[in-house]
Amino acid sequence: MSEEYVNEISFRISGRNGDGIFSAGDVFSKICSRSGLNVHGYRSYQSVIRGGHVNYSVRAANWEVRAPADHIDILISIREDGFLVDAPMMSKNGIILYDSKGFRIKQDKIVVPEGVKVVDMPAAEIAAKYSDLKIIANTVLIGAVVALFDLDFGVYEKMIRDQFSHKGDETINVNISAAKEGYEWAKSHMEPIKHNVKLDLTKKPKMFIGGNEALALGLVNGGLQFFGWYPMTPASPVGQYLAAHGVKAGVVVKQMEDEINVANSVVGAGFAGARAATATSGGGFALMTEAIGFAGMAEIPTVFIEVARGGPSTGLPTKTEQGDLRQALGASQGDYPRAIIAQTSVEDGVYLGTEALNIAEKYQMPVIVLSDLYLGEHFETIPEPEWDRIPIERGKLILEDLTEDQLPYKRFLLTEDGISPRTIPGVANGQYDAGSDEHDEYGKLISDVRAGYPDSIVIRKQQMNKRMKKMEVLLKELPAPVVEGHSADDSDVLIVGWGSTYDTIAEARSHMEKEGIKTSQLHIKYIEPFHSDEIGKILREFEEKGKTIVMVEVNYTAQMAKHIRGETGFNIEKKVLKYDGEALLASEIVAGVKEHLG
Amino acid sequence: MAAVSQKVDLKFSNSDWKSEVKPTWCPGCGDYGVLSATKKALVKLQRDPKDTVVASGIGCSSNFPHFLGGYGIHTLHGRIGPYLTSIKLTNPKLTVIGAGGDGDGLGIGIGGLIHAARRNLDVTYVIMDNQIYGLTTGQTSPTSRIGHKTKSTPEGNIENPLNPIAVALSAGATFVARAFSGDGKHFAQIMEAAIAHKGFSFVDALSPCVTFNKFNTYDYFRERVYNLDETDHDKTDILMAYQRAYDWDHNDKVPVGIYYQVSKPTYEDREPAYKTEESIIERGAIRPRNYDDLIGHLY
Ligand SMILES: Cc1ncc(C[n+]2csc(CCOP(=O)(O)OP(=O)(O)O)c2C)c(N)n1
Ligand code: SF4
Repeated sequence: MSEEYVNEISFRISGRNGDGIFSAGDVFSKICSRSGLNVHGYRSYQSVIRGGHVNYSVRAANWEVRAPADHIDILISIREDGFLVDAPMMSKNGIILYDSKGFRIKQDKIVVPEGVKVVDMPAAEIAAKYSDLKIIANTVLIGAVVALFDLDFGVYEKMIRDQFSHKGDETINVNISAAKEGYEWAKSHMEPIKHNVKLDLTKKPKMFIGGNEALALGLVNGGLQFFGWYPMTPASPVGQYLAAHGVKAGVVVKQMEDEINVANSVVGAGFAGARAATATSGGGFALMTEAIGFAGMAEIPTVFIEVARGGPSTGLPTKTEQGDLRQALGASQGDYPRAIIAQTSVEDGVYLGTEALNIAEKYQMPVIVLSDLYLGEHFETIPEPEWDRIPIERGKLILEDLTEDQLPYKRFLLTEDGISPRTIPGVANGQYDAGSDEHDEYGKLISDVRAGYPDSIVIRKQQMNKRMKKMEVLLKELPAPVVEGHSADDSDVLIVGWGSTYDTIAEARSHMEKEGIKTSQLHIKYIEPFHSDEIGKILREFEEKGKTIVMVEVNYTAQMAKHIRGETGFNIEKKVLKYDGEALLASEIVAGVKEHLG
Repeated sequence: MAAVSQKVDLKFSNSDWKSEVKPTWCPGCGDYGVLSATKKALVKLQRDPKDTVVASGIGCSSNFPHFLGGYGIHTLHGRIGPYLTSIKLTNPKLTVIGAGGDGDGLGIGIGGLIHAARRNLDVTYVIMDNQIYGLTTGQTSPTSRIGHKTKSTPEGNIENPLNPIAVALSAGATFVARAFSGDGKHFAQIMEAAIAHKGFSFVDALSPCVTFNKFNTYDYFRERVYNLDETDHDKTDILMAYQRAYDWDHNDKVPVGIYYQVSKPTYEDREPAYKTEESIIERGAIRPRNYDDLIGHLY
């Protein structure tokens, strides 16, 4: 009996672009979060405005769900392609809701997976009683899903009131009536899904936020002052969030004419004293690289966020990949100091936004933040942010006019930690020229008439050493990765990952633990500078003790494994790689790791 | 590198704008004239070096900021436009001047120039237009005239030259002028008017490259320039401005002076983030004052 009960809510709605799928998914997600649950929401879509097949998956439970579900209990299939794309993921005893008449689904397209109930619901007909708008059918269908998961209709009703508060009472009432009838229809025609998820309507719901928005919020919380951008999927939500919400917090948000000029605008703002950032995807980042090197050379604090999508070239604009690590590592000519940090979760974004701005300013260097479509565009409930967990740190920034005893001012003064006091325009007696050419301590060029003279050769080396010294100092400040789970003595397998896959690997591990496989996880967040010694030591320890080591990455060539090999000399031979564009699932990691375990 | 100002609260003189770095331009290079005209204008307008930023690209002309006091940012080839934009938006109190070559601003950087101009930021952009690539030792430029023999066009340039004045007019600059660096006094007047103008000021500086351009020499310009002030030109009339802009192409005459000047709201005056405060720099990098604006919709 108890086996029939599921311990999480797993729902998906699918249809064409323009069918209101994302909005319906967002509403259902918030119904769940307002019911006291932890929620994970993920959408899959294509690069078209109308048509195509899109879906939104919602997974909710009492525990912290942080990975996409690999099964569906209730599917709303607005269009017939849902039977092709989504139905194969149905769990036994699951329910597919569709409306054959309302959305003209042909009988021969209806595929019924074994054990799944397929219910033809007259949603459009019900909706038509209340409104001419076809989209109201979604309201009816969500009403049915609320009934089928035995959720509280009052929560849905309140959600509708909040959603349409700006549209007036009539819209609100139409939607509530339609939702109610959908709810009642399901109650009278069908059996609900049996689950043991405990609802709590009294709790303050958690924040439900996307990975991109979390990063944007983290930037604002970290004192962001200037954000330049150019739209590119899947990074656009960062810019859009800031345009909609950051401006009210006094952030100058500027959509520029192209990514070359975005990057340069960010460097300019950083020079002028603003905490400055941008976000783009792979193609845009490629255009930014010359400016990133300039920020390294002129020691200008800047943050560049790269939310990767499937490559190469225009690639898979609406699909995910961890394919841009090597581009980030290879960005711009020459050796220059910079940090590369991978966002590891939605919640991490709230803190990483501030951390990245801090590192940029304290070390006066560009910071590259790597994310990807899956991480950026999926949504989770997260614990209430601790807004003051990371203080705003501005390092050796000088905002007061310089006094006689501080003169002559040397912007690129040689110091022990490689970091020089930095003035900004407006500070009297602190004038200097920030140059992309090699320069001396004052900022004077040594690249033209003085190039090659003995004094210039010395200066070049001094300035190069000074800049690169910052990498050593920064490395000491960054927390070294540690092994989670079983120690090397007590482990069957060490799973190595980086960035966005953290939570999915953790979930895969919990499945394996239940099967008696002892797992360990090494997850990499700080990529440049790199904890070569610590990481090399961990890997060698597992190897010496005869443990299996598996690299998990969402790209073709195992870019992080290559980086690790280059930095530590350690070659991780066993890999689980995915590069079909879809989000990595815990079940895929489990299957891949088990194969290596033999 | 800038000279250090000792008399912060006194009036600013030429010496406040002096740099320790001596210009590295070839003797006779037109860029000297642009530098001294700019200095004169800044002194005349009593701008404070600590509140002035010159942004340049890459080229002989782009070494400009090193030879002038004040803050400078000597950026990448063709990127003056975005620096004017973000520096002014970050701190609207600054006097922001862009200075670079014709290759820099009209070749690789033309997109940035056009978009900076259409924003009508209160900044000044002077292009030291020598119709050649100087620093890379003499290749054709977007303003090279037809037939001009250069290292990259040994048989003579066959591309139509861009018309910088017409480009600036159509991009939406609210001040468009041209000056000849062979006439220092007039140039200083034009620079003064350009910096004083509240809006995007574009100055096409006829600034001969004595080393690599044997075609557009001082004499070439002396034979052709005439002052718009000595005509019935109406600088508020954009069609008249276009007509003058084509004098060089159509009549082999090169007008100098202010082609066009009108008053329009600047970008920074309309910037939403500045509805509540004057400068994000003065406000500083702080925590948000109101979290509800940021997260209210996320529940
Ligand atoms: C991205 C990039 N491409 C090419 C160059 C090489 N380069 C340096 S200056 C220059 C052109 C200089 O001509 P112009 O801008 O007219 O300035 P001038 O030297 O004549 O003052 C070029 C092509 C560069 N520095 N960066
Ligand atoms: S090469 Fe031409 S542009 Fe460059 S400094 Fe010499 S004269 Fe001036």
